[in-house]
This record gives sequence, C-alpha cells and structure tokens, in this order.
Amino acid sequence: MLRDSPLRFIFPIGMFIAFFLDGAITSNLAGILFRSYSMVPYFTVLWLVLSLFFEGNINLHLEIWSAIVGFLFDLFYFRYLGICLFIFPLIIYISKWLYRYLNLNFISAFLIYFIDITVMLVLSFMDYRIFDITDFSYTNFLVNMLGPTLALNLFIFAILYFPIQFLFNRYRVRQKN
Amino acid sequence: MHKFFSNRRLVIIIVCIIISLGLMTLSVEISKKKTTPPLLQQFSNDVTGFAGRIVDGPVNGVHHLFSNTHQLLNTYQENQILKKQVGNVAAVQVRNQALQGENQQLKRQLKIGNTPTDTRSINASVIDRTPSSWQDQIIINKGENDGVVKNMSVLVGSGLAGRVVEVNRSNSKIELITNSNSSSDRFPIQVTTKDGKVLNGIVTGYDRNNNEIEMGNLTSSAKLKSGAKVLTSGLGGITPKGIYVGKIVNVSSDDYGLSSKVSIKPSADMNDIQVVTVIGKNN
Repeated sequence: MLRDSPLRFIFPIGMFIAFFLDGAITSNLAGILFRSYSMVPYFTVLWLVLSLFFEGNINLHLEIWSAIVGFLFDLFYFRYLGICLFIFPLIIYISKWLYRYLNLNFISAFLIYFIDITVMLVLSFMDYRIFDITDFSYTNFLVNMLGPTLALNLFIFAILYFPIQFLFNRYRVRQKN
Repeated sequence: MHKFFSNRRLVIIIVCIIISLGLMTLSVEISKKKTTPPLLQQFSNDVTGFAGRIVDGPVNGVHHLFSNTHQLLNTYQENQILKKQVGNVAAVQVRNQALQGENQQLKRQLKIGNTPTDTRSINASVIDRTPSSWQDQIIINKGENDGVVKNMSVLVGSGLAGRVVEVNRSNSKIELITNSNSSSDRFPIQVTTKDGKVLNGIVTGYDRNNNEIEMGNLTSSAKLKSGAKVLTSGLGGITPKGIYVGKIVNVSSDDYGLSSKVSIKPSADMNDIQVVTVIGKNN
C-alpha cells in the first residue's frame, strides 16, 4: 500500500527535482545542447515512466500525477496550455498498454521509452505546427531535433535505469518487513 | 486480448483532443492580445518559479564555478587585448558624455520630449530555459513587481537577444531572437552605409547552422559591406532605437533573386545566457 511505503515521499520529491532539472540543465548546458542540431533532456518523462515500471504492487496514481505535472509543464515552460497536459498521461497509458505484453527488463523498458519519447516529441511538434507557433519543417524536425533528442534521452535512460530501479526496490522491500 | 481502442476510450480520446486544441487556441490568443496572462497562470508561474530556486540554485552554482574557472584561464590573453582598447575607450566615453549633454540641452530647447533612444533598463538573471527544441525561450527572475512590461527588448552583454513575451509578478519569459516563428513580431533594424545612407529592414529569420541572423525587407538596394554594424531602428514604436544587433558577415540575393538577403553575426552569445538586461522605452 502506498500509505505504508516511503515511496509516497520519494516519488513527489523525485518529480519535483526532475521537473526543474529539465529547465536548469537546458539553460546551463545550452552551448552543448543547441547547435545546428538540438537536443533536450526530459527527466520528467523519464521519472514518470520509470516509476510506472518499478511501482510494482504499489499504486502511485501516475495518470493523475502525469496530468498535474504536464499542466505545470505547459504553464511554466511552454506558456501554451493543453500540450503536455494530455501527452504525459497518454505516455503513461501507452507504456502501461505495452508493458502488459512484455516481460520487464532493461531492453524492453528501453524500447518502450523510445516509443514514449518519439510520441511525445512528434505530437507536441505537430501541435506547434498546427497553431503556427513554429516555422521549422518536418524534415528539419526529424533530422535535427527528433534524432539527437532521442539519442540524448536514451543515453540518460541507460545511465539512470539501474540506480532508479535500486532506489525503488530498496524502499519497496523495506515496507514489507 | 485488450483492445487499444474500445468504444468508451475512443470517446474519451476525442474529448481530450478537443479540450487540448481548445486550450491551445485560448492560450495562443491570450498571449497574443493581453499584456499579462490570466491570474491563475500568473499565480502558478510565480509559485513554480519560486519553488524552482531549490533546484536551479545548485545547478546554476556549479555552472558558474566551471565558467569562472574557464574565464580565469583566458584572463591573461584577454588582458593583453583589452589593454590596447582601453585608451581608445576613454576618449570615446568623454566624447559621448559631451555629446549627451549637448543632446539633452538641444532637446530641452526644442521641447521634443522623449525620443526613441530614451530607455530605462532592468538587470535580471536567467533561472530556466524551456526544454524544447523548437521554442527558444528563457525565464528570468524579474517581473511585474520590478517594472518589466510585455514587449520590452532584452540585451545580453551589449547585443540584442530577444523580447519579453509573458510577464508574471516575479518572473517573466523571453523569446530569443533565434526563435523560428513568423507570427511573432520581427525586430526593425537598420544599417548605415559608408556614404551615410540609412537602410531599414527587419529580422526575418535565424540560421542555426552558422549562427547568423537574417535581415530582409530592405528599403533600398544600396551596396552593403560586410563588417557594417547593425542597430535597431526604433520604427514601429515598440523596440527602442540604437540597440546593437551585430555585424554584417555576408550579403547575397534571396531565394528568388529579387531582393538582397543580409546575414548578421549577432554580438550576443545566445547559448550561454546567464544575465540579461531588459530595456524599455522611457515613457
């Protein structure tokens, strides 16, 4: 049960850090991240998806959390509402749906995360194009933005997968004793 | 086997898409027309910005440490170059002061009031950047309380870097000049040719590969030389006059061969912004 688990503190704190880390890292490493290509880290999505994988028998109410965080993402970072508010829950939904058919291990999680990031970037870019807030072409998007961003995020995923798994497992086990 | 699209889910998904597009339309319209965002948005942005300092502070601190060390290594070389320029700067400064004084007296005599070069400025530091590849936007730690108003221009170092697009109580958002967006306002800029002719134009785009601003819609076909300095022209009444943009590096004809396209190297480094100056008209 969530009520007995330390995860009820750890998950929101991690969410908080991940949310602001996105903006802080993008702002401080802009010289490396934005050149002719551009890549952007999405720690928030990483934390949400990994929480889904490792929550086990504890229900963290990720659908609601992802909607709240997505809404804050829109308000604070994008200033246009209604993008992440729906895309983050959609990602959780897709991951859950795929998760049922696969045994969870590093490779399958990696693939699911790959699909998640792609869906998120493509949908949000389409939103921007529909409302004419950006002028980049789809080709430019695929080559210079989607590719590098996927590479960066999968790299971060590969680094943080095992530490976060360790974190979740450790605190789930303690609650059983 | 679970179906991805059951009937009920399909309805929910469609409703979600409609709400999403509706919210988008609403926020795009509001950000275009109103000077401040709705109260709820403003409030939550203030709270988020304040809470974010817990994470942003340490990250920025580490970055400052690294960049300071890096700067220290360059100090000797820089010092050599700067020494040569110092003598020149003092002379220009003295002359500037004299001219400024004269200018003020003349203005008083003519009873002109404020001209487009009169500005007031606010210094701010950058707290966040939008994690998005196609929206170059930074968030600074000054807002309505400190006198920031929507559409004020933003300088990094001495060069034009962008424009304020959203103002909250204690933080505001800036769209950088590198942002690719035809619906956002363009900056009116001007160049003076060697024979004293003034060419007006606007910023029409940004070339990511070469880090160059493109100037288009030129008012005349006079020959431009690379190395000429580009300033804001103050036309349109939003941007103050006389903000340095950069130097011309290349003049070519545009895709259709009808008008010339000018590439400008911006003087501001858009990818390492830590401190900005917000400049507005003084009225």
